[in-house]
Amino acid sequence: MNETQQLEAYLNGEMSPENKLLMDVRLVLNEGLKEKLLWQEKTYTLIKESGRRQLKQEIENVHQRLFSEKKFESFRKKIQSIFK
Amino acid sequence: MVLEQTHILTREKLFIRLYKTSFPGVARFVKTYGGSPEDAKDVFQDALVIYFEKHAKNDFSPQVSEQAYVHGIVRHLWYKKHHHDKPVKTLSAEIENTPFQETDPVVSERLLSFVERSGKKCMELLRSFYYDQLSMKEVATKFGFSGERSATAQKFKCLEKVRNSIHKLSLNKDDFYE
Repeated sequence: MNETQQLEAYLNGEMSPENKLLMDVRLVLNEGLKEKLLWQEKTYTLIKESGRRQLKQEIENVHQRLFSEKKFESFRKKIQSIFK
Repeated sequence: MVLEQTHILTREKLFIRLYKTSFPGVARFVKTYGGSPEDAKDVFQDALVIYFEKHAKNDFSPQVSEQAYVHGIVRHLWYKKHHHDKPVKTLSAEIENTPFQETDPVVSERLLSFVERSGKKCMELLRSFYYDQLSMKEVATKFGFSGERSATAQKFKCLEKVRNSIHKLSLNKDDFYE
């Protein structure tokens, strides 16, 4: 396992108690490693946000299709009648 | 590339189905509370995101409970937003216990567009695994790797690359965080 993999396992709580302890110690002693950990955590947040943004765009595209294309006309009417 | 499109197409089909089965009920619900069509759209789309995130691993076979599930999320979000005191009784235990995560962005817009621009390919790969929850095998097929092993290696390389680049960027800009 390389360092990035180890940090991932650490963040996910997937390490054995011994390895976790070892990592705890390394993180205290090694400021650079600690920084990597923090930035890696940030990276996961970014990936999630990016994935979410893409998903939202796809959902919005579906919405636009449903509310514009001819073949979804009956669906559209159904919704419009609710808000009448 | 073909696979990427298939992937999106499947999602598109899923969302069209969910719209058809669940949106009318959601619209009626929102209307009952005096909400607008725009409110219905917003709450429904947020619910779809939550539904997807919770079920991305499964292959979304249509289920009877799917519709009820989406409705449950919608009600939960609606009451939360409009500060109703009482939780809805009809919510199933599973939905009750779901820790609903905010769907509002938690990272800066600038940071996000930076990584999406600078490491496009890597971000695509990372999203597939960490957000869309494809298996390493599926990631390998999608991105043309010989197998899970090389796909995994590439995934960690990408992770490292993005991690280092945002770190580096933060050193250059004080106003990086908002």
